[in-house]
Amino acid sequence: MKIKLQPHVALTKTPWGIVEKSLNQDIVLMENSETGKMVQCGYVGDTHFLPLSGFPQELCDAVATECAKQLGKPVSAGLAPPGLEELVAIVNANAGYSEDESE
Amino acid sequence: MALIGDTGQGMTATFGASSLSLSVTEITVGAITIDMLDVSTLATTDFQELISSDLKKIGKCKLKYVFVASATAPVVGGAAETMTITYPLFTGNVAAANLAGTAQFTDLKLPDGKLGEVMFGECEFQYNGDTGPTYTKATTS
Repeated sequence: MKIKLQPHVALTKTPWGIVEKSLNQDIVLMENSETGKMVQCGYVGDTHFLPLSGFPQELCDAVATECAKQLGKPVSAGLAPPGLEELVAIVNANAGYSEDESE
Repeated sequence: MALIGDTGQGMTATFGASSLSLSVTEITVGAITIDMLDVSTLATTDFQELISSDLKKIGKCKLKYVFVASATAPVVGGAAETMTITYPLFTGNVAAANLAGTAQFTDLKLPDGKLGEVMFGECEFQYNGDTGPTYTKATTS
């Protein structure tokens, strides 16, 4: 798994020019296994990898491990916000019926 | 001409320190505004003459989420942290567009209960201006 970290900064205009202020997190880019291109998969904050919506939960641990290696500090895998299909399942579960019954 | 535009599917709200994970269904982003100051004089005709004030402000961002009883809820009045709204990745994007800055939760509405309806929670956070908020456009390969 190829991971690249980019510091996430806020560009702030001052009378002396534009200044980069740290947002205390890095943008996490991951190589797409099919295209070979790097694409954002989330952020790494103080202690956690924060995946983008729909990013597979199955990959979170591996990304967190790689982030920890590059940052030299412990990084836990955050919970991936559910994608659309998972969200529908949660909504259905909360509504008290299964996907089969909804069809 | 190629079609443009995209939906909100894949939009994400992340929290740098608390690493809160919400099953978000709707994100409402506060407007960035600046007041305009009236500098009209007795010689002014037709329309007011306006100059912009010094500081911009941004409205609260609101998240609507599916209530999951076992999930950690946002803490109103908790410590400020980096909160990031990330827009969906378009084809060809390397890093997605985002709005990020230090912020804290100001409002939490736990769900009401009603037969036959999904329970949703709502929370709002306010960027505090310490760092950012800054909108960064997506980068492409």
